[in-house]
Amino acid sequence: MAIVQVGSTTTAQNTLVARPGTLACNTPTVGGGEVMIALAVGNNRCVTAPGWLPIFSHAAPTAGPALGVFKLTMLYKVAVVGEAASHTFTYDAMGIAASAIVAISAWSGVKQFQPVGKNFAITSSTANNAEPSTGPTATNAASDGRVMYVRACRYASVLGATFSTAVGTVTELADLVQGNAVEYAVGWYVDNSDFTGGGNKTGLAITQTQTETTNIEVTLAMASDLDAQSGMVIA
Amino acid sequence: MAIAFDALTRFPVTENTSDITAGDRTFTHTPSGTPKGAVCVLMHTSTTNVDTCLNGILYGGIPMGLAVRAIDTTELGAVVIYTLTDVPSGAQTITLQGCNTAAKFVSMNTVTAATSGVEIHATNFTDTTVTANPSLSMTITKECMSFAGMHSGDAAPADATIVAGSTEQNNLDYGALMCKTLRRTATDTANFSFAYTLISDDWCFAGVSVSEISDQPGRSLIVMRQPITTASYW
Repeated sequence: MAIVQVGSTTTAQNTLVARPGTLACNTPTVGGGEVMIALAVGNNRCVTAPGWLPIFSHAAPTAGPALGVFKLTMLYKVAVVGEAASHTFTYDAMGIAASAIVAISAWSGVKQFQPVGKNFAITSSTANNAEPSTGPTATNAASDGRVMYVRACRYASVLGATFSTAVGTVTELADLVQGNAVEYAVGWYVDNSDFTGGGNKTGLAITQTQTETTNIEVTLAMASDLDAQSGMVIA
Repeated sequence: MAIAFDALTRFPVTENTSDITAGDRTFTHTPSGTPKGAVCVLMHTSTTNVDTCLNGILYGGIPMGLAVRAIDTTELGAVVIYTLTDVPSGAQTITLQGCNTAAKFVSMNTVTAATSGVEIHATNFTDTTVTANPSLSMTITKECMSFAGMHSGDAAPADATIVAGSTEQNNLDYGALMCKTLRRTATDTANFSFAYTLISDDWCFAGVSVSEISDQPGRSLIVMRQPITTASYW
């Protein structure tokens, strides 16, 4: 079964999430057994939510205290029938109160258990990257699925960054920015079609409009639920 | 077979030593059986109240998720626990990405299960607390294997006596501070507490309990790659 986005991506942004603090995000249209994937962007705080499981957390390079407070977290939840209207994400007490962003997208045809991660590459830097910046190549992608691309940036002041790509075979899931004393932003993209079989998955060239102090770039794949099935082929 | 502890790898390997080298740090974890999940307990002394010891942890190239952490805001110490719930089998390279020079060590554990994977069943943490006898309660309603780390402002690991029911995995004497990693000795289906007997000092504690997932009944899939015609089958 092909992977299909079943609900529009929903977002929540807050200029100041206390420590500890919470940020609630509306639930996208989703049916029982379908998979929700959430991205949380903010300073260096552990993000959790009831019923959600972590996929990855990556902090920005620690070139200095000011740069060590930026983290990108991805979580997932298998939706139940009658899913709650919103989900509350808790940011732990570490670090400082700061801006935060959460975005949720919902998918059918995705493997329910650990839907993302085996085809994965991530890079991070303290550079102001040349634009566009191409994300890393995910190697040894061995299963069927759909590639996602994320670029998250941190800025020294509130600049109102936006993201875009010239590549026409992807869809933008989220283009979000939130600032307080500093600004965090994220661009989230997904291929328009599934891939089958193995092979490396190249990163996406994503442009953002401002001078950033930190980048986190990710290339990863949602796994098709075909992986979880037993099959018979009549050829 | 239900969920069970599989194997432990310490980094650095030698107990009561820490690593302070910056950059990506790698080591090999070799499971004993076929692992279904991994729990990595990271202890470090990075900047007070800012968990900046490293950027992330990869298990065989797969990112681990940050499950729970605890911080000591009065002294340099943190417990950070990462998990991975669907792990590749065989020996794997563990990468601690982008480490700074803070003193750190990890206890990398794998667990086995009868089903196809494991999930986080419970987490708990306590940030800076000044009392005697640090403890951390875990609320459990199904069979779990549990792991934890405890950081203390007490000066010597030998001062702390582990309460029966848990097994110590590593300890580190920072000089003025100390920390320990531990696991529940056996799987458990009821609430319990990780605990030490120790004089009053500042401490923080974090723990995670993992259980096996319930596999869904398998679905059959038939893929037709050739049109079926009456001429072929009649």
